[in-house]
Amino acid sequence: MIECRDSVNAEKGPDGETSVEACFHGYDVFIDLSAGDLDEQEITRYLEALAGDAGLSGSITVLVRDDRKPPDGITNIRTIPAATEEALTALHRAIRGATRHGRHLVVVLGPLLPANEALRRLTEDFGRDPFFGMVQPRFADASNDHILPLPGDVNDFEHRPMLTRAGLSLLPDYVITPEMVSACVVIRREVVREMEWSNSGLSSIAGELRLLLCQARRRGYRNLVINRVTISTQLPDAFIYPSPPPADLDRLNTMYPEIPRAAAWCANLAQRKLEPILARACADDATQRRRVLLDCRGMINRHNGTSHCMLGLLDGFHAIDGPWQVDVLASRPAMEFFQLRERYGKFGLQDRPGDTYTAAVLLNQPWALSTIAELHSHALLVGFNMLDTISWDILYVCDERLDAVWRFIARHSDVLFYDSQFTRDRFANRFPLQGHVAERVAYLSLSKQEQADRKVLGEAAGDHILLFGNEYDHKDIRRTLRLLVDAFPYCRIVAVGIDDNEGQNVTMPSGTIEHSVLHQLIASARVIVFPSFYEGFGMPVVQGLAYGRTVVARQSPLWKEIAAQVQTPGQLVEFDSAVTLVEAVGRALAGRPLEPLPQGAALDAGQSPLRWQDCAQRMIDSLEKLLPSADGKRWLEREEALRAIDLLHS
Amino acid sequence: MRVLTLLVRHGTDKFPGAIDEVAALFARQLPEVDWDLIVIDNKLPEDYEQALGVRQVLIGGSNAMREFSAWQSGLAYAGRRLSDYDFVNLTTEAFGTLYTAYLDRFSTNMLRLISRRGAAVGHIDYYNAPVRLFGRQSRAWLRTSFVFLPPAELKMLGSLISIAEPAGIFSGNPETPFLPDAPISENYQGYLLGWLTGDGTGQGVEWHSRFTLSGDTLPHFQNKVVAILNEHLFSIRLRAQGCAMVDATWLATRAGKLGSNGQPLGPIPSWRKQLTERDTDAVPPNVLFNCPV
Repeated sequence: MIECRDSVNAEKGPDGETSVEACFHGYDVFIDLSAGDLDEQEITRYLEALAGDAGLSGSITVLVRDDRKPPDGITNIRTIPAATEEALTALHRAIRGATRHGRHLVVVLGPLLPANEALRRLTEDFGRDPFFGMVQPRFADASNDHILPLPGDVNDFEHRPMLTRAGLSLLPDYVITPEMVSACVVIRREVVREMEWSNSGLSSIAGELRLLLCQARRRGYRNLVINRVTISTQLPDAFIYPSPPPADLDRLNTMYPEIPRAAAWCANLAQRKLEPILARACADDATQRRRVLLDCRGMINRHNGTSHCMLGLLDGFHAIDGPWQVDVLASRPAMEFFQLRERYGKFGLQDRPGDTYTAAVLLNQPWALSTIAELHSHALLVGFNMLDTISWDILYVCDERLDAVWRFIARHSDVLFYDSQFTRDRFANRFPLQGHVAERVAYLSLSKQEQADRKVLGEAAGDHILLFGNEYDHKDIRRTLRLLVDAFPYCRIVAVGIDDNEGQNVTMPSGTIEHSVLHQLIASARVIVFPSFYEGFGMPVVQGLAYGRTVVARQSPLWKEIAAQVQTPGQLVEFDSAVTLVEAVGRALAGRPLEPLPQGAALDAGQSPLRWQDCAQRMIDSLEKLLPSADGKRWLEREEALRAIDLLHS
Repeated sequence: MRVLTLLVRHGTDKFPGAIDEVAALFARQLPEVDWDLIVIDNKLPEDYEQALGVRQVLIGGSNAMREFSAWQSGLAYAGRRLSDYDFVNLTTEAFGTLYTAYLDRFSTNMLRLISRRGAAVGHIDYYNAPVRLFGRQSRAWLRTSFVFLPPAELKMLGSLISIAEPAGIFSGNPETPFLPDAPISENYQGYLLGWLTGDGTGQGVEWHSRFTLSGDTLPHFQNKVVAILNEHLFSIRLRAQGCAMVDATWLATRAGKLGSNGQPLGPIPSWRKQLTERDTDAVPPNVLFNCPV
């Protein structure tokens, strides 16, 4: 909005015309063309455009090379031919002139055309704070309007996408930085009038400007980069954020040793790190806007529940025919073991993140803050798939850092996925979520077709009791095994998850069990016992049901939820004590009726249980829902939080 | 390509066919466009809402700053859906008045050339000499009765209303309606008076609704001046943020030359160059390039 108060105290200019600049103190302009290769014709064209299009006011000085004949008579513009060594003299003459006029000074390095409306908008930002001493616009490639990156190391990413105007519109109005030499800097009048020529032996305008701006910063004046003012240019990047020649730079660093620190500060700006990420999320090419990184580094090079959960989800994502492009992050051993390259031709596969993404989802729980920080540095939205909260609850398998990690995601993630409502409730009760964190129970596949191995499907039930678990106390496998051995001494018991024998009628598959062998055991069991106190989903339970087996599991709200989501030929029976366990197993072995949990209660008429594709689609749908509000603000908050944490370690 | 049109009207007395005319233009010239329409009627209460058809809705709007406050109502109504569109088409019920030949030049191919660019497309008007307003010098502006621009530009612009409170501009005296220190240059004051109450701005065109300035018509005069200033400042503020004014006739000319083979538009030249390069109604170069070099 334009404020009319600007004009209230307007003064009469020297020509008698009302000079609104006067109350805004106006500006003088110093343009240095002496370093460029413009020929006389190009200089003439530039000056004509400057006069005809820019509409600048104040005193305009254009410095041209002394071997270029300055054109005559362009109104309001003074051209000065100067040898290189005279350029600094001309700059300080412009500084003295602006000081005399009581005006701001616009310093332009190269043939840019900063229009008066842009400079006016820039100078208005001085009003924000008396110690905003310098202000500068963003620069755009005139051929496509992509925004040139702020100065600093540009090798952060393998392919640095360029920030589009759509991405620019999501950035804050301005960012405060240390001094930054660019092709257009407006220097506040209060700063200008304190600038002195120290005759410090610098040879370049860029070096002298850096010195003057550094001195201004030392007096307390900061620089503003205004994301709402852009100047288009066809100049190469190096001309936009010019670096003084090495000799000048050495001299400057000797005079003011903190200069490299100021440069590092600029390079490390949170906004600067956000820009390539926004560039991806707001790419001109619509096919580039929806790219998701699925972090499967929790997958190991052998069969286990987590690996198969991830493989299932990857199958689901692979089956989706939508606009989202998927890259998968996995360790090389896991890639080879599960032949991910052959299995997922559509996906890009990496063992470390190297690109930028609109979203990154870790397909299991995060165990370390470094994983979160890494995904955050590559993606606008970050999500985590919580498979259970057991580690935190049982404590002895993790350290206290896990608490902080999960509290962090409850506060700073964009979306949390869960493999069951049961897991969701456990997590939410332990880690209160910030209101803006989206949640979705995505489940794992509940489809009997997907959870059963076709090779063994239809196998007749054998005579063994299959006991599932591992050595973790919450699995309760040893106590249960002893009970079953005592109760059913003549029945063969196959115990998966322990290594040493507990009885003569007990068989224990040793070492790592092949996927197909495990499914064979499940498919051919008379009854499956799952004594775990605590699960997030319980894939073996769903697999047993898919094969039409009776599964006896310890009473838990989880099983009611799972039963309500499936339609299988098996039956899921709960026990709550040694007596009810023995009774249920005995009845199952005898083929007597049981009281199974009702199945499919949560499914609408005609609705099939979720397949892996549906689970993946739920994740995609959640990301889609987040896109309209994904404006980088949450990313910046997360960045600040991560930086603060990082300080503790540095 | 998705386009959202925000059509402002003030009842249906003056331009009863405005909706049909905009719809016909889109059907005729932009048939591939996925088009949504929000009609903002400044005569209706601001909470009014009525579906007009598939993807067309009528809402009430604020008339406080005429079409600019009405568009603001439309943008608020669209909310976050705005970013789903490639272009927002700001238009008023009077879009079919005055010079209209440029309207026939809009096409999907032409809009595709500036999709996601920092550009607003419409008809560029200009004065014979630069004017100053609120500390800015300007000579040209986009006619806001029919303009296309990306949602990102509107987001960066913020409020479309540049002048909400015209304090410091008007004297209250119809004889000399501007304050001596009004933030409007004398030549601009002359253009404004000429356009609204006289024989134009020296370009041989007269406004169809000009009136005699008197005590009775002074409020109307002031409202019209504020609307004109808001229109001009709309372009100035867009330019400041790096959103170029693109003349529709020039862009259609370029689109014709580039064909539909996906060749990019490249750098957008200054408005002066555009106007002299139009294939129809081109402005003679000496009119615009008269700087004493």
